Parts: sequence; C-alpha cells; structure tokens
Amino acid sequence: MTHALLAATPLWMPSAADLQRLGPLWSLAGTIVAVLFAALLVGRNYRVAGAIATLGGVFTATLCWRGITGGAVPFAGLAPEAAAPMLVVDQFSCFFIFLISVFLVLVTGMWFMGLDAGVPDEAARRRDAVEFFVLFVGSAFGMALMVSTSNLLMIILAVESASLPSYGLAGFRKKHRPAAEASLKYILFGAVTSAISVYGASLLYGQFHTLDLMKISTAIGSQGISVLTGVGLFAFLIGVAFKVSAVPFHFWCPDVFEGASIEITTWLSVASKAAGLGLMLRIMWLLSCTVQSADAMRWVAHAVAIMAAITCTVGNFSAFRQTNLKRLLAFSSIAHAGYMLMAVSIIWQPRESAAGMPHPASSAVIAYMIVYLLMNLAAFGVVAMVYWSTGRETMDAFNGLGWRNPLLGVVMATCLFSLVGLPPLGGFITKYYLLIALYDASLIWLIFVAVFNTLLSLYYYARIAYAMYFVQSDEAPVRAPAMGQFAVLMCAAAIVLSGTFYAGKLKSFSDQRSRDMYGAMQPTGLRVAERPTADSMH
Amino acid sequence: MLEALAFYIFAAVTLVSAIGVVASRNIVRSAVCLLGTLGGVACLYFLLNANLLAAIQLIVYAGGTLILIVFGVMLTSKSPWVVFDPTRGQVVGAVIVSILLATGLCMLLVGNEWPAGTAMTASPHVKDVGTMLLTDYLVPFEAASVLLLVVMIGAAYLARPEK
Repeated sequence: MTHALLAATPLWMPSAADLQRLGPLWSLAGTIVAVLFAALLVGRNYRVAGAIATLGGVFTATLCWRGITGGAVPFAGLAPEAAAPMLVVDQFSCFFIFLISVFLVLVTGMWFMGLDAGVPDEAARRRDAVEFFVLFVGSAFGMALMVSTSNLLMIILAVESASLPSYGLAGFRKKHRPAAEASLKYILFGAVTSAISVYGASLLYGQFHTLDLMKISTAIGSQGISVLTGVGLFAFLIGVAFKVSAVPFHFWCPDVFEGASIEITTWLSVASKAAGLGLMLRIMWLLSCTVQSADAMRWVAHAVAIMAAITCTVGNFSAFRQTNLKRLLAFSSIAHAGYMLMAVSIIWQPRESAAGMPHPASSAVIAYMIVYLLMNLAAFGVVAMVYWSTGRETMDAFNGLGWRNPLLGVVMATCLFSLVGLPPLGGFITKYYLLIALYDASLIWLIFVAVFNTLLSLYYYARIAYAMYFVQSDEAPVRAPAMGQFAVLMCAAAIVLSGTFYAGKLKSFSDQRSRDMYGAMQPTGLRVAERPTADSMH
Repeated sequence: MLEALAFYIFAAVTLVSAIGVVASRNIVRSAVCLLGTLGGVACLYFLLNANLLAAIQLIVYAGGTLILIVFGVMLTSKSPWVVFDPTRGQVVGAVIVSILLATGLCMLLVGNEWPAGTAMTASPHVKDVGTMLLTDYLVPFEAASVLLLVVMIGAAYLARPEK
C-alpha cells in the first residue's frame, strides 16, 4: 500500500539551501518547542522559560541580520513545482522578522523587570511563565509568517497564528476583569473579521483559480478589476486591517491595550502593527506588480488612502478625552497606523527606474517602523515603571513626574514630542520621509490630512508633558529599576540620534531593505518560473 | 432529475432550519435547528461529489461545534431556558442588512464565471487530498500544526481552574 502510494506520487523534498533561507522561521518554531520541552525536563521554572525565549529571539535576530547584511536575494518557494510558492524570503521580510524578534527580546526583558518590581499578581506570573512564553513566541511566529508569504492560504494561516495566541495573551491575567473583557472583545472581533477575510479569499480563489498573489495580479492586469474582484479583495483585506487596527476595524484596540498587562500592550502596539503593515505592503505591492495590474489597482489604493486618512483622524480625535495612559497610547498607535497606511496607498505607483531603485513607500514605512518601535518601547516603558511604582496608569500618576523622577520625565517628553513629529527627533524625520513620498506620488490632499493630524496630536501629547512639568504634586518620588531606566534612556538617545546625526543612515538602511523586495518589478534573482495552474484541490 | 430533486429537498431543509436558528428565542432550540442547517449543507457537499468535505462538515460542525455550543449554554447559563429578547428596532435593522447582503452576494455569485468551479470534475478521493496535504500543501499543513500546538496550550491554560 505504501509502495503504491509512493510510486504514484513522487515525494517532494525541499533542497537544503531552500530550508536554510527560512532559518528565522524554523528558529522561532523551535523556540516554542524548546520552551515546552524544558518545562518537561526542569519543571515550571520561569527563569528557564524566559531564558529560552530570549535565546530564541536573539538567535532569530542574528539569522535575520545575516540575511540583511549578507544581501539575501528575493526567493519564493518551498512548494513542489506544480503549486504556488508558499513562503517568501527577501530583505524586506528579513527586516521585519528582525524587528519582531528584537522586540520579543526587549519585551521579555520588560517582563522580568516587572517581576522584580513587584507587580500584584507576581506569584501567578512566575507559575504560568511557561504558557505565557509559548503564547508569546507563538504570536511572534505568526507575525513572522505574515511578512514572509505571498499565498492567500498562508496569509490566512499566518494571520490566525498571530491572532489566536494574542487573544490568550490579552486575557492572560485570569482574575482581572478588564483583561477578560478585553480578551473576549478581541476574540469576537477577530473571529468576525477573519471569517470575512476567508470569504474574500474564497471569492478570489473561485475567480482566479489560484492562491498565488502574483498570478492573481497577472490576471487582474489582463482582465481589470471587476466588482467581484473588488468585493473579494476588500473582504480579504479586512482581516489585515484588523491586525493594523485601521478604522473602522479598530474597536478592539483601546480595550485590549487597557485590559492586557503592560508588556502585552507594548508587544501588540508594535509587533502586531509591524506585521500587519508589512503584509499589507506586500499584498498591495504584489497585486500591482505588472504595469496593467498597477493601473487596475489604482482604485483599491484610493480606498486604502481614504481608510488611512479616516484612521488617522479618528485615532487622534478619540485620544483627546482619554485619561488612562495605556488607552491614550492605544489611540495614538491607531493614528500612527494611519500615517503608515498612507504609504501603503501609494505603493501601486510604478517607478520609472524600478529595477535598481527602492520604492519610496516601503522605504518610508521601514524607517517609520524603526523609530516607532523605539518611541513606543520607551513610552510604554515609562508608563510601566510609573505603574510599578504608584500602581496607577492614569494621567494623575504623571503629575510632576519631571520632578519626581527627572530621568523618566525627560525620556517621556522626548518620546511624546517625537510621537508628535517635532524636529530634531526621529519622529520628525521619518514623517518627513513619508510626506516626501506622498508628495512624489502627488497625493497632496493626503499630505494636508497628515499635517492637520500632526497639529491635532500635539494637543494631547503636550497635555501629558504639561502634567509632568507644570502640575504640582506632593507624591513620593518614582522609584524605578536601574536597568529599566537605562533601557528607556538608550531608546530616547536613539530617537534623538536618528533624527539628527544618523538621519541619512536611517534613510539608506531602509532604502536598502526595500530595494530587493520580491516582485515582478525586480528582475534580478527572481525564482518564480511560469508554472501550470494545477494547484486546485481535486 | 433525481439529483435536482435531492438538491431542492436539502436546500429547503438548510434554509428552513436556518430560519429556525434566527427565529427561535430559546438558545437551545436554536442550537438544535443549527443541526439541520449544518447537516443540510453537508448533504449539498455530497451532491457536489465533495465527499471528504461533507464528512468533515458532519464530524467537525454537526458533531463537534454543535455539541460544544449546547454544552457551553448548559455550563454557563443559570437556567437552560435562556430567552434572548431583541428589540423591534434590532430585528428590523438585522432583517434589512441581511436582505441587502444576501441580494448583493447572490448577484455577485450568479453573475460571474467561476474557473475554479468548472475545473472540478472527478470526485476527489480522500487519498488525493491526503497526498496534496503532504506535497503541495505541506507548508500550510505544518504551519497549521504549530498554530494548533500553541492554541492548545493557550486553551489549556485558560480552562485550568485557579488553585
């Protein structure tokens, strides 16, 4: 029986070189298994679990860094010749996995600091560390998959792999009512959006008889966008917009950010958005990878531009009345997702010298993402340290922080003004690159929206700065762990440096990462041969 | 002829029980009506020669999910006769949205060609699907297994009683 089966279908083995290219993904999956096996061998030890997660993150980051500096060539494959390529590796995906795994390590550090600082549910945290890190690394694995695929089926699986562990993480504090409520809202919202997304994917598959975005793009190029394609694409993108928390799919975001413990809030605010935006950029990029399909995709891109403008404005307006810092930063992160979505809406525009030149949109998003990571890590770090010291996350805990702990005050002020986008900070320079890219794409109205929103956001960020320096408070000085203070200080220094001395370096780094993106416009090193469309399930 | 007759019977069963699911105010009755809907859809799959899909539909949805729903209701509610009472406004709104959505989708589904549908001719065997899963779709299969592992750990954690 086995012999008959083997004879009937020649077994397929990926080559060693192909497997090696996907090292970062194996490394993350291996970390999950290692955490579990270590628990079998040494029992529930939170130090071991945390150490393995850290090591796994560092190892993955190293592998990605080798891919980035070693000039990883665009590669799409890991499926037999007949099927559509399942996984994509290029500088772009290496960069995003690098970002995610570095952030994984940093948030793990934050988790350990929280233990030492004496959070209320400390004993439970130590006991459940194994489950925590399995879910944590599991969501990182899903996010890494999200940025390294061009296949509808894999995209759906990747979004689920990133979402499902996040639901568990949001409700990880089981005895905490807001956490349970946040987790439930997150699940319901995620379930509905992913159902719509899968429906959209099935419409696309039914119409084009392929799961590969590249082939769908070719078909769109020759047939144009029909109503059916539009509905399918829109429904499919809803699942991704949910991960980015673009309006109107953002309702989960403030509740989850407020209810989850602060490490998870930090994690979701950066990693989930990074993966979602990377995926969104890749989808739009691949769908408009031929001249004809780029022309057809214009209308979808306009829809994304409108969504970006609404996301920004709603995020900023909703942040006005917030008094809980985590909730306020949630709306701020929605607004920032809006800025980055603006870049997604211009990626369909073909560049004349496409072969050697990076696309300004993806380059702008990469630069923005680096600085956004630093800003959010430092801002949430300060909020966490204030919370550990005072037990509150509300605005009044920040009254007089500039005098109660000068270092935290300075770091927080730097982050806030960088989040607004004031010179000479990193937030300014990356927003500047973004606006330049929009200007090149002649989307002037979107520039006005972005600038108007920057002015809006000045109000609520400055309100925190005002509370820190001009509101009198007779509370005790904020005591914070030395390592934590050092870490946020480093972030603030990096924000200042990226806006001044290293602005050019940031630009050239992000240009380089988006140059070798997998797609038809880059003819070098492309490994996709014309394949027969035999990837149906029959 | 016989096939068409069978189709109309199964479609009617599906639709009538679907209406029962939304019209019933008792949540346990809704769940039982859901059995008719899921079973009807499974029969439609059988008619389309999608044997494996039909079997999966019966095992996973009719067998698993449905029982989960009934258990969920029994374990969480204070009485098994939970009645949910939507206001008139909610009902009108839901009906309007559903009719609009159904009309739009039907127009889309009927008015277009489906290359993926016409390519399905022969009845797929379970063996073919299995071979596909371990060749063409090996990577998604493995990714799904990692996902299930992580989700299982998470579910076990959330369901475990606190000591």
